[in-house]
Amino acid sequence: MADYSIHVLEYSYVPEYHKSGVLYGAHNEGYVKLPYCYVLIRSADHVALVDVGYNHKDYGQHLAEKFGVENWRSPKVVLAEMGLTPEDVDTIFVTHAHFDHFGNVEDFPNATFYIQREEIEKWVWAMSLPDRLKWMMIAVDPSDVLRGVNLAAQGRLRTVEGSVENVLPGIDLHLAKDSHTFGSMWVTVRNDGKAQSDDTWVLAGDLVYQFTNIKNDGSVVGVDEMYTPVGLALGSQMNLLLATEEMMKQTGYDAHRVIPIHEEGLADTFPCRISDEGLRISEICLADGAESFVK
Amino acid sequence: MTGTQRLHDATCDVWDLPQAGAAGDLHPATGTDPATDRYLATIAPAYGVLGRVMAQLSGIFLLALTRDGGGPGLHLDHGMYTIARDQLAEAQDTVASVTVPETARRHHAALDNLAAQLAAAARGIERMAARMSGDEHARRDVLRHLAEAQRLLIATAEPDAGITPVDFDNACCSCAVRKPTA
Ligand SMILES: [Zn+2]
Repeated sequence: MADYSIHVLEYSYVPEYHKSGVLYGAHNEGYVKLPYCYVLIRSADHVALVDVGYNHKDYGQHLAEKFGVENWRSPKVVLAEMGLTPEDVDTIFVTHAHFDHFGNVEDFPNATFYIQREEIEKWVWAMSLPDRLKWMMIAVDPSDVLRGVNLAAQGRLRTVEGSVENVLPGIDLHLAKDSHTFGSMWVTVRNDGKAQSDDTWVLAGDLVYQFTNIKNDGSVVGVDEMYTPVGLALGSQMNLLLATEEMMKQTGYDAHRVIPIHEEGLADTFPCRISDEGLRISEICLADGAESFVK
Repeated sequence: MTGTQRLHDATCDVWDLPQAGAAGDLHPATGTDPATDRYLATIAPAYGVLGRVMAQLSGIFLLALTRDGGGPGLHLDHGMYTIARDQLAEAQDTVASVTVPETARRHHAALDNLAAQLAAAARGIERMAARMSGDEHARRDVLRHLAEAQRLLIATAEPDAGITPVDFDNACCSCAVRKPTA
């Protein structure tokens, strides 16, 4: 029995991204394509997203010119491929407050948003620090926090403290404190609805960028494979590794069930298709009775 | 934008501000005028502080609005709030004391207004926390001041002078990208 269909929806990409940004320590190892995606989780009762992408209206052109971000498509266009509109989305889990995950909230007028309270509290603290500590504020757009307060005033923002089970039936939120960011969060879908699930999927946010963060060559320490953190840890690489271990544990150490969203190689593991707009749709799993969207 | 222009194009709608009647262009224009350069260099740190104070006040208000338990009034973290208030006061001092060349008069007026909007938002939050007001109207008032501050923050950005609301150079998913060579 599976309650939810899960699809990773690409909405933009960077053709050439330094590998060292993806994988800690991979200096001078060239470039990889970096897709930008959000995750659609859909049941008979709910349409949920993990993250919302960046605010193209404010920054799209700047990003395109400065970093070579290409082919941005709006949620309206991306979700239309799934037979949905942004208005259909009722729940959004924001894994962390970086502008490319938390920037586009205005496009979802009917959704209730969830974010870790720790993430907001520590950003407020970081914002109060002098310029010489500004590294802690990277990738946060002050305007995103303002958009967040508008959601809060409308009663559409819930701040979460630590782990919360069954935010939607079978969907849990987990805090990875002081890891990629102060209060990064991952989303666990127990797709059979059981407390001890045999059908668990983990949506990793930026705690894992690509499969290589879970299965990297471990010859440097004399093992076949080892976890290796992403290139950016505002907290610590240790906490990234411990979060990876916890995510893997939840899936029974089935690495292909921890889903990274900057991973071009999803195509090698899951059925997928390229939309008319040139963006990939990866079908992670289907709910009972649901039709495939990639055939 | 050309190499010598510091600001958005004069026709860009980002500059359509209510105080359009004021003298001078909002953008202090070129990088060849030492007085303008001095002004921008002095104001840059204060601009950064104002942007961060806007985020602090927004975050503090967000946390207060979403606090569990709810009830009447606003459950304010006074420690965080006091820091934001003090930093706002410092930035206001800088804005008030900078020498303003004619080229930057509208820019400076907009910055001054930005600081005033933040001060008004802070007063509103404080009143709600003191339970002098806690109604929908007071909440909307704070949001209105914060939104106006944000609009002014974007309008007064001068990317070529390092005056920007977001440091994209270090974005998690856009740093370390091979920059287009064209
Ligand atoms: Zn991130």
